[in-house]
Amino acid sequence: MSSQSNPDMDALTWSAAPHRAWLDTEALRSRFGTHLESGKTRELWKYTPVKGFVGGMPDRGAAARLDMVGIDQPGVRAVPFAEMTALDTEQVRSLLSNRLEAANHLLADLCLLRAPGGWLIDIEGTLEQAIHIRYLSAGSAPVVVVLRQGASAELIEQTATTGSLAQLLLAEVQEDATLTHHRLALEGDAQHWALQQIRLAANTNYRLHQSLLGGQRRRSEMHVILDGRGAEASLTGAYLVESGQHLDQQLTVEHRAGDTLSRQTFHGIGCGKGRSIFNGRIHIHPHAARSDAALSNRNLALHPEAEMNSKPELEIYTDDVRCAHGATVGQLSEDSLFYLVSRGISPTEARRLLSHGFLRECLDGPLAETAAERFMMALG
Amino acid sequence: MNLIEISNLHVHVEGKSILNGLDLTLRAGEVHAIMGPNGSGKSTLANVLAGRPGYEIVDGSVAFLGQDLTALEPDARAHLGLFLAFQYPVEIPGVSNMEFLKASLDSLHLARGQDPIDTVSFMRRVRGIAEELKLNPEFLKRGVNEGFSGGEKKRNEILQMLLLQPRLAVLDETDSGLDIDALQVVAQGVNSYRASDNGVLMITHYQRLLSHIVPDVVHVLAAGKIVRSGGKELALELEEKGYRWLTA
Repeated sequence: MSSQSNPDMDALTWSAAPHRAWLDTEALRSRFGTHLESGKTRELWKYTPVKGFVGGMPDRGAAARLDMVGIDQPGVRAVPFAEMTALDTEQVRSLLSNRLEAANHLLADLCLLRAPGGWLIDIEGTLEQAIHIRYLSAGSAPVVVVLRQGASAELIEQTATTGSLAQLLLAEVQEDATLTHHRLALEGDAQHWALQQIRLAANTNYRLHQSLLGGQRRRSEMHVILDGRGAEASLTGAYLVESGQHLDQQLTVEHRAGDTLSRQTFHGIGCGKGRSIFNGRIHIHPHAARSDAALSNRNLALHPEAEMNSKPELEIYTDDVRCAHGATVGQLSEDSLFYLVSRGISPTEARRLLSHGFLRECLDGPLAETAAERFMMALG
Repeated sequence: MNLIEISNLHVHVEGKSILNGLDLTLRAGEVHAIMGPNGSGKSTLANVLAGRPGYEIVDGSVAFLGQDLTALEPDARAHLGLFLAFQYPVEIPGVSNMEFLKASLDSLHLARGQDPIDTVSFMRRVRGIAEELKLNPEFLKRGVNEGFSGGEKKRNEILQMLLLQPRLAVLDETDSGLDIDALQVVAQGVNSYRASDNGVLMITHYQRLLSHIVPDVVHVLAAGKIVRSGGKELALELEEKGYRWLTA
């Protein structure tokens, strides 16, 4: 196996992390090595070259400092990996080993291999207060969230560092549970690697509101698995890329069970010589009859040298489905511009209003105003 | 005084001649109606007055309050007091009606060297007009025309007219798509706007609007020029006889 001589692999010296005791790290290393060499990986990392990307990852053994609000309310247990019970350990081990197995999740493997620890957040019942996690420093941060049957929670994740941050969020949403998830990452010079995997059991509801600004290198992978009948996912996101920034988003929604519904609406703007990649993939499995999936990704290139890539991918293995997919890269509508200037609004102000409105269509939740302000700043 | 004076106006759209020597003068305090068959150039006239890109003026002149209108950008035309109620108002999700209306009014105040209106007074004014037009004030929070019915869009145009108080309002088929109740509401709005120092140019297909907003002059536009002008009774005659006797 060539992984032994790969410089990226050599950088993966295993540290004394608590999860070493229960996670098969040799298997992880080997899986990582295999994935690193595969053609599929080269395709998935086409725009953010995988070669040498390990070098940009957080240092081995560096833990991202987290600030967590809302973890001491009734119904929440937030436990560091080192302090988990045997039962917790078994659950987390099983989730980390099995859930990530099938997919090509280099980021997850790397994050786990380098992190000196992690967190389990175990949620029961209906939470009164949102759980707000802020990532305050460079480092690796695996977080496993379990929403138990019938639970209902709001989770806010916000980055507050420009240092190299590797984020792994694995959410296990059990039957009849509801998760509302807000993500915000607005540091323009960040090195940020995020993998989010959300598994939805039967009759669950998942809502995502995401706002991302390009970074020095920012890669955001979102993998949603509708794994039980009646699961519903609604994902919305706004993003903006300024000059010199890079934003690589990989979205996968898998319908593994029938009678599942997914809605994805993402709007992005390139307002400088930067690069945005949006790969939106919908995968409907053979036994997932009556799945209903729709993805819309619209991009505005407001700068002649803004590079906006949008690639839709559909894999549908059953006939009895509804699936809609739209991806566009364009300019502001001339009709809308004329409407505004005919009322006396200057063309500059009209463009600002329209581009801001275009992003605001995909902004919602408690962090919407923070994101709107930052986007507004970029749009002038 | 003349609000607008259009002389020998020739306009091409995509190289095709649409207006062929149109003359029209509208004085302060007057309401003029322009009627005419499909394709006669009615909407072209509305768009060319507002300055929509893509309309090439090849000959003639348009003086608005004594200024050469064609030399002005669309926003400057609005600053001077021109308003177009669109035939097909666009939907702009993400930009709220409130934000749009405030930006419009602020831009007019700014251009005229006036202080911007404070938000409380602005809201009171907009709500007052919305009530007059039987528009639920909740619409202010929604995106511009987003999810509005045809009738609501047209009422929103009239709301903007009443808010911005232009010197000349060009209404491009504001009556189309309105049921009889909505038509009355819109007509009341336009009638409340009428004053001795402003004017209305109404483009319409149907006589029915003119029984609610009584015009001083009715023009018939055919093949890009005015072929007949007369009083309000001309509209009734058109209703009865159609256009053919004028255009044949």
